[in-house]
Amino acid sequence: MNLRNKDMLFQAVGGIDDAILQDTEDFLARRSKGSRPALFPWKGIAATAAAAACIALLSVSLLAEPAASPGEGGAPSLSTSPLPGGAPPLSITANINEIGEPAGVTAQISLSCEDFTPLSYDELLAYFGAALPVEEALPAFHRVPPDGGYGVYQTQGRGVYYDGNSVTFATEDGEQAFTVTLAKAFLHPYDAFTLSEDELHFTELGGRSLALFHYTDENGDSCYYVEFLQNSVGYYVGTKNVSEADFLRGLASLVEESTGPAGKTHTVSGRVAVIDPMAGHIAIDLDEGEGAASLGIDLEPGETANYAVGDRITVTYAGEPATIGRLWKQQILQIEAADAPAA
Amino acid sequence: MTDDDIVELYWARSAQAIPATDAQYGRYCRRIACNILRCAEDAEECVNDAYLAAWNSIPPHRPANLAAFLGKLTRRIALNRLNRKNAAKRGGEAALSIDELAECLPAGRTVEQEVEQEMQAKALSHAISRYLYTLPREKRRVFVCRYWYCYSVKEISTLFGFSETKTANMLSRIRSGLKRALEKEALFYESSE
Repeated sequence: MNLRNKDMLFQAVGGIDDAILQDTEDFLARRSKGSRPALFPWKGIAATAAAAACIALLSVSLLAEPAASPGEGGAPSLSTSPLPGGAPPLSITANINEIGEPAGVTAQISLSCEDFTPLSYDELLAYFGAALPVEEALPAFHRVPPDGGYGVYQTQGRGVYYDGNSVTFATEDGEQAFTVTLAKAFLHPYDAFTLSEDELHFTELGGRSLALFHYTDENGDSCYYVEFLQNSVGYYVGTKNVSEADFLRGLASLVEESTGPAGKTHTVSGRVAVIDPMAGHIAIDLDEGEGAASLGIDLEPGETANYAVGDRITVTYAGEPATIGRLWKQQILQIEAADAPAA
Repeated sequence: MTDDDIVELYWARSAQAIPATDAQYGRYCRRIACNILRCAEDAEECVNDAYLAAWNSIPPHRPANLAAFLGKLTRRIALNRLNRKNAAKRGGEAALSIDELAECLPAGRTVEQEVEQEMQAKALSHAISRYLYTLPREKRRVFVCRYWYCYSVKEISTLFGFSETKTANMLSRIRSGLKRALEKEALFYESSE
């Protein structure tokens, strides 16, 4: 190795594509504004929001704090807690995807403390039209009241503009936690997952095909994670030091029996609205009747060149979008040109 | 003021071009220079040199991405300054990161001396870009932070919320991948030694 080669290589790095530099510079610019990576992916939005000093206390109150200890004593959690009423154990064939610890997610949303409307737990469930029977499924876990309470951000003109709320269920010693974050006004976008293998597996649950993830966080804690859309509400479920069996049990208590189209593959059509060649990503506006307004699609590098804004395409994919509103490239089975929708 | 407005000032040979550039991109260029030189005074001179270089190259050049254009100028000037300054004793984060990156050069091979260095560097740049596009965005950013911006491993760890060990391991894997990619593209010739 001579010095000239080393310097040449370093000089060559100086000539990498502008788009790569621009992306990193945008990232650094966001970082310099004060947002910090979140330990858990579903904390990302609120953590960013906390950068605005005025609302720091309120926004932090929305964060899940899985390690919070509700009190002394109590029985330790059983890693395979029995179901209430002596019901047989769940029969789920789990196909867990191992991922690297998710990095922080940045999304800019400004919250004002003046817009915060507190909600009781019952009001929160009613707002989302959700039931969280985690304590019934996992008797050793109890809901941990959040420090600042639940609530939503709303104004008269905008209505509710941020409603991310985390509900944490933890064991008495606080060592194990099962956290459900609900949102519907602003669905958290995440793209910071690194699969350990180039294949995405799905788990059949309640007639749905969900992508379940596992990772070990920087403290060495075992964590499970899944996100899915149900009745237009985003469910972001994360655990800490919870066994796979308990994760599945808790998850099963949340997932309603699917009323959507059956089958492990799905097909949607729409018009290409966004192309991001650097990220290898496109987004399509779905045709009416597809159940959502738009869908992000991750592609192999260079594949975005095959599409132009306005193109109509039909996408066939396995399972449900691995993360809310986003198809991962590993689940794409086919993309082809589509005819215009019938008038 | 938009980038196009600033570039127009250069084309019009307006004295406002430099102040406008400094207002928009001064902090960005200083960060790049500071990371490489680790000396505010040197960095300031380097940024001024970069502005002068921009003045001399626009026109005829019309950069499509002014930020990247200025950043690349600043980086190149800062590296040249560092090389001059540390001709005998090389140091700083840039020198460290150059040494790390040298692992990517296939062992026992060297660039043919006769080939123009600039052409080689350009081909290498394209190859590196192609490789970076195959990486997840986060890893790509980590690479750029280390080898383009010359951030220290510790600084990158703070930026991304990683442990230093994780950052170092990630960089090591990226370098291994880059080495394989460069070998695959056969950019290097057998050593004549």
